[in-house]
Parts: sequence; C-alpha cells; structure tokens
Amino acid sequence: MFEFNYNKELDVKQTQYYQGPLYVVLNITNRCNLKCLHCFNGSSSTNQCSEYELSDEEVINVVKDVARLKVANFCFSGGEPLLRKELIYKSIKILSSHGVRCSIVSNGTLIDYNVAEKLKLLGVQEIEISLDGNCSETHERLRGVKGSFEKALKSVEYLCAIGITTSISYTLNSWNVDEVGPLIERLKDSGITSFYIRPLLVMGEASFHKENISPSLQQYRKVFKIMKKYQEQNYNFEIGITDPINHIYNLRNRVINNMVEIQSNGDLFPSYCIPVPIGNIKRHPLKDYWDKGLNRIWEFTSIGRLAEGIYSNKDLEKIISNIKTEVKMDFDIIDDNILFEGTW
Amino acid sequence: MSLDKKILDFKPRFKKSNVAYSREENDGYVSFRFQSPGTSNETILNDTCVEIIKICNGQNSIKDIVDHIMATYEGAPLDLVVKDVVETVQKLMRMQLITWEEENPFIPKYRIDLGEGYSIYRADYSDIPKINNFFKLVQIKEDKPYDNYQICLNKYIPKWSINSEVLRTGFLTDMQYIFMLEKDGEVVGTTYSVDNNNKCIHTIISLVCKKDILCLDSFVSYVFSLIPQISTQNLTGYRIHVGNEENELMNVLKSTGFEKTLTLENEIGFGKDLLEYNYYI
Repeated sequence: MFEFNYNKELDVKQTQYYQGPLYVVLNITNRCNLKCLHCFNGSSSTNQCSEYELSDEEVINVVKDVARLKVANFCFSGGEPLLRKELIYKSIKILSSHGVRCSIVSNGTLIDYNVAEKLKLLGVQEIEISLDGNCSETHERLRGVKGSFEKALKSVEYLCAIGITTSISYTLNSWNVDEVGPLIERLKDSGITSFYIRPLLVMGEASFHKENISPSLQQYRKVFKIMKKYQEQNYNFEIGITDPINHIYNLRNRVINNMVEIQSNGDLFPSYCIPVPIGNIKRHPLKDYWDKGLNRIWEFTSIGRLAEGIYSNKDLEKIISNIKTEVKMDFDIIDDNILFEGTW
Repeated sequence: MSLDKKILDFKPRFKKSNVAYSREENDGYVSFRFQSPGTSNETILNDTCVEIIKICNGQNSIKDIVDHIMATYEGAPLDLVVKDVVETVQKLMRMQLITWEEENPFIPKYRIDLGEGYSIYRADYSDIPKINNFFKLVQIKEDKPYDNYQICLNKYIPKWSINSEVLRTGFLTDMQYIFMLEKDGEVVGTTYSVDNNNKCIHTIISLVCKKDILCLDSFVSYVFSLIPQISTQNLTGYRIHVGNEENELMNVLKSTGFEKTLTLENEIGFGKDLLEYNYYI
C-alpha cells in the first residue's frame, strides 16, 4: 500500500515518478580567463565550444525550462561562468523567482564587492571558489595567470562579508600538498562554510600534465593526516576530502537518475565524469530528454557499463581515454530512438 | 490491532525543519531532500506516506495515525495499515527524521542482570546526560584519561565530535548502539558503536570501563553477540582503529576474537602507529 523509497530501495518503475532532474549543472561557457593545468573541462587550452556556445536566448530557454521543473539546485559552472555575468544575473533572477536554489563554481577572479552584492540580492545561495595553494606562486603556477590568487582571496572576503555561503575547493596536486594546512589556518576566521580537498581528475587539460601534477599515493596519505589534524581543531567550517566519483557509485546502484550536466554547446552529459553526449539542448527541450530516457540513463546499457567499471580515479582515467578512442560520440537518445535494450 | 500498547501509544514527531526541499512529482509522489544526514537525501514518497508525515506532530500516537489513514482510505485492511504505518515510522526513524519525547518502543533496552550488582542495558535518548557525565568523569576527550579508567577510542573519530548533539542525532536512529554497564546503579562502563549505512561492518567508536571490573568479559561478549541480532544491517564484522597502547580492554577484545589486520605506520603522527582490529561474525 505504502511506498517509501530511498537509495537502493527505489524500484526501476518508480524512476518515472520524478518529473525532472533534481540537480542541473550548466557549464554556461567553456571560455576561461585562467589557464589551469588541471582543468578537467579542458577550458584553458581551447575555446572549442565558443563558436557553438549556447546563445543568451538558448540559455534563458533552458533556465525557464528548469525553473518550471523546480529543480533542487541549479549550478552555474564553466569555464569561468562569470565571463557571462549579465546572462547569469538574468538567469538567477528567473530561477530565484521560481524558488530554485542557485549556486556558482568560480575561480573568484571576477568577483568584486559589487558583483558579490548583486549575486546576493538576486538570491544566489552558494558559491564555490577554487583555491589551489596558500601563496600566489603555487596557486598561479597551476592556474597560469598572475594576480589570480589575490583576486580569489579577495572574492572569498567579499562573499563572506555579504553573507553568501562560500565554500573552498582545493584540487590536490603534487605542488600544493604542503600548503593545505597553512591555507586552512589562513581561512580560519574567514567565514567560509566548508573547505573541501578534491583529488585530481586526470581529464581534460589535466591529462596532458599528469606526470608533473598528479599527487603520489604518499602525498594523498599525507594530506589525509593533515585533514584529520584540522578536523580535530573543530574550526567553524567543515573540512573534508570529496570523492568526485561518489555520485557514480550511488547512481549506478540506484538506477534512478537525478542529475544532468549541460555543456556550453548544449550537449547533455549524464555526469561530468562521463563525457558522453546523449543529446543536445538545442535539438529538444530538457523535459523531453528527461521523459524519453534521461531519467533512466544509468540503466542504459552503454552508460551503465561505463559506470560499472569505475571504482577509482584511475579507472575513470582509463575509461575516459577509451571513450575518446572507442565510443561513438554523436548520439541522441531522442533522435536516434534508442531503446534501453539497445547498445551503441 | 494486535500490537504492543507501547508502540500504539508512541508519538513520533517528523522533523519538518530538516526538509531542505520538496517537489510534487508524477502520480501523486513527493520528493524530498533533507538537510541531514546524507543517507536520507533524495527520498521519494507516495501520497499515503506524505499523509503520515503530515500528522506525525508529536501529538498523535501511532494508533491515531492508523485511525486517520483508515478514515482517509476507506476500506483499507486494518492489519495492512498498522503494518505499513509502523514500518513507515521505523524507516523515518532510521533516516533520523523522527524525534520523540518519551521512551521509544522501537529501541528496546535489552536489560540484563549479570549478578554481583552488575547490570547491562542499551542506552537511549533519555540516557544522554548519564553518558555525558560518564565521559566527562573518565576524561575521554583528554590526552590522558582518568587513572581509574581504561579507554579504547577509535582514532579516526575526532574527540570533539563526542558530544551531546552527536549522541542525540545518533539516537534518532536505531543504528547507534550505546550499552551501559552499571554496578549498584553507578555507571562503570560503556560501549559505543554504530552501523554504517549500506556497509556490513559495524564501527566501534569507544569502549570505556573502570579498571578491575570483574565481569568485563561478559559485558563485551554480551554486547557483541547482541548487536548482530538486533541490527537492521546484515553485519559481517566489527572494526576499530586504535593506537598501540595496551590495556585490559584491548586484551579482552583480543580474547573475544578481534584480530589485528593492518598497521599503518606513523599514521597518528609523532611516530605512533594506527592499528586496525577486525572481528568477523
């Protein structure tokens, strides 16, 4: 009589009960003002998407669709999303008026006090700023542009002062292992809500520099110990290590899908870790993709098979390189009328 | 209704403040996202579950909820409604979405008398002040515990996290197990452990007891034989990460069947190793 479902208990049939995704990430641009060696979107060395980038009108259409679906969180990412600042303002206004929580992932270089204030006024709930060292030398060695460290720190100061939930993302690499502790101490009274260390994903730009920047196992263990030490200090913010592929374990087990990543050219990915386009928002609205298979995409043979093989970042690295060489990329779950029994 | 009166009289309260997000879905379903914990995020409920949640306000008993559902869904078989209401409340409890004031009938005390003035029982919500006082007395958060006591504390658990708030949150589920050993009404020992969601290994957070306890073996054996019987998880073992200190408690664990499976050198820092002990059920 009653159905009560969460995690693995959710039955396949019931995936159809979700009227839309809960989490949407829009890489609003692939362009970036920095040249990060570890960018998993490959934004720093190429502007490949820029000519095919979604127009302002197309972005607004997506935003309106998502607002109607009342998703739980809409995240603007990139590239550096604030390169399309005015469009983000317009989008957030629409989303906030429909009660949709909005967040932004940014390198912080384009956030001054006025921008922070405007974002707060429009209703942005959370901004994640990337900091990859405790000094300009380390941060900028990885990010390739002078002055980016001070600007990122300033953005944290403005955002916290304005009262936007601010989190720090620290991508671990072989150069910044020893600066985790000092940066946590520097941010002790900053007002941030969380400091998360992210393992380096060998994707995009990072795949060209992995020999230089990949941390060793010993370095990961060292950082884990440092993190435990700071967790013991009971600072006013959360300190942790995130597992970037955690959502893959969850989603492949649950079958149900609750997220989608929209690329700057409109391609739809099941996850940023599985860069396989399964449609394009320029061809059909998100809701149509959702109802015609995106809601069950992890059940889909090829995606499911890819996800099944991922248990670590190393697996992910291998699978990504296989995708590049082996898997057919031009694919659309609506236009190609792909049934779930099928493979491609 | 052939249910224990204690269960029928139980008055659960749904933690509304924990709802971060909800959305009406297709076919009358409602999806929720809760503030905490991670395990209860993204839950989808049908209309009858939502109906139950609406009247879980701390005023209505399980019996009242059953009556309400019977009135709403005319013709529904009573036994099925009772079973479903109870199961729904239990599931909400495991997801830490229910609070209550008095004793929780879903968390039995498992009280047992060991003789010579010693007794064991499973602690619940109402025992938090007692547990806190005991942890304070033994100085569990200090580097050097009180001399009369011995402690095995999981080194992966930050000491600051052992506090009333964490205990309280833990007691909102039936996945936290704290057993108290008392001698003539005075607390002389505790075991503190938790089930891990979707994992079959039960994590021990701390074991504490007074030195020279006569029934330490029985206490430890009772607790570790009982937990797999009452846990909702399909447990295959226990795990604890400790330093290389030796005490009577560690000896009892080893004699119970705990085996050292891993040594992580200098993991704690200052040249101190971290040892992983496992017990396979």
